[in-house]
Amino acid sequence: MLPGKYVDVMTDFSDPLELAGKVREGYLKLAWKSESGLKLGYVLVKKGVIVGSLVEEILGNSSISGDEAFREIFDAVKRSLIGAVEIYEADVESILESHPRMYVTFVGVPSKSGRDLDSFLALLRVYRGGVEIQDGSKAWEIYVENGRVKAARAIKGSDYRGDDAIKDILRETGHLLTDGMYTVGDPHEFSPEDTVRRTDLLREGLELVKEKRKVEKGF
Amino acid sequence: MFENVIADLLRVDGVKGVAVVSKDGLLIEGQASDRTIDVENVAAMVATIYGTSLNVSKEVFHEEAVDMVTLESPKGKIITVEAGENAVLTVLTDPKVNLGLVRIYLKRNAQKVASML
Repeated sequence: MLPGKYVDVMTDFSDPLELAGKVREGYLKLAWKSESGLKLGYVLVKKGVIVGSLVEEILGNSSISGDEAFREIFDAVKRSLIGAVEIYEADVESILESHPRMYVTFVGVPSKSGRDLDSFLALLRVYRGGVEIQDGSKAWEIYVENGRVKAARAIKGSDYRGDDAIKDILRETGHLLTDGMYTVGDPHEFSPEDTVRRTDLLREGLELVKEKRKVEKGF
Repeated sequence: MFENVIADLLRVDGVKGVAVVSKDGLLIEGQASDRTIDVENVAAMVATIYGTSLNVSKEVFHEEAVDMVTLESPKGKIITVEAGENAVLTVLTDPKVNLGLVRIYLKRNAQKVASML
């Protein structure tokens, strides 16, 4: 159990993680029933950005932290298992100092659909499942697992598969940043030709784009 | 919907079961760490105990209000508080549970249930 001052409990939301934007410094506390029992999750937030995560198994007395924990929370969110979210004010720095494993490696708030590069990069880190990406004239479908893109294929505008589909997405980054969007969903079945070998390529490529934009903004 | 409340209370040492129950005895949501506890059955009985306590309060104190109902047996305790107009929140505990701590958690979580219903 983490220290903190209870602020409110929310039940009216479309995406519980969007509530992170309402937290100056503190955490969201959410619970859900999964196949393996009752779970309690904490999402640590500072200035609206997710910085840490913890999931505890209530009756099993075990816990996981960091990206792994957030993956589980995001999975519960995607499956609409979260009915209520409690908001707490807390000293996040001191919590993370005493529990450094709770740090997450992504920046931003992943969401089930969106247009923002930070959200998409965060999604790539934590999501397990299919994602459709489109920029109006072209569309692709990828399968993400444990921070890696395992399969990909173009579904509109070209017929690239596997690593070539990833390169095709990266070539269209310019369009994607202006007109693109992504949505998570159950993918169609991928075939062996869709297998991606360079599973980090999309994330690394997009992180470079992000860095480039940051530098350009600086000038 | 009340998983957060149930998880919070089940984390307290000695708490074996938690239930959110409508005042007419229907289980809204509940969970027990001990599989021998039939939460649905307990829910119906708890609502009856709570209703009877209200009647006693009305008869004796001329006020139909009860802060907390505690049933103590050699094998454990059942503690119930009102959670909004139409529900109660109840916990089943070991006999040697820290009652002060359980009461604090119960009151706090009853307020959450009331605001969520």
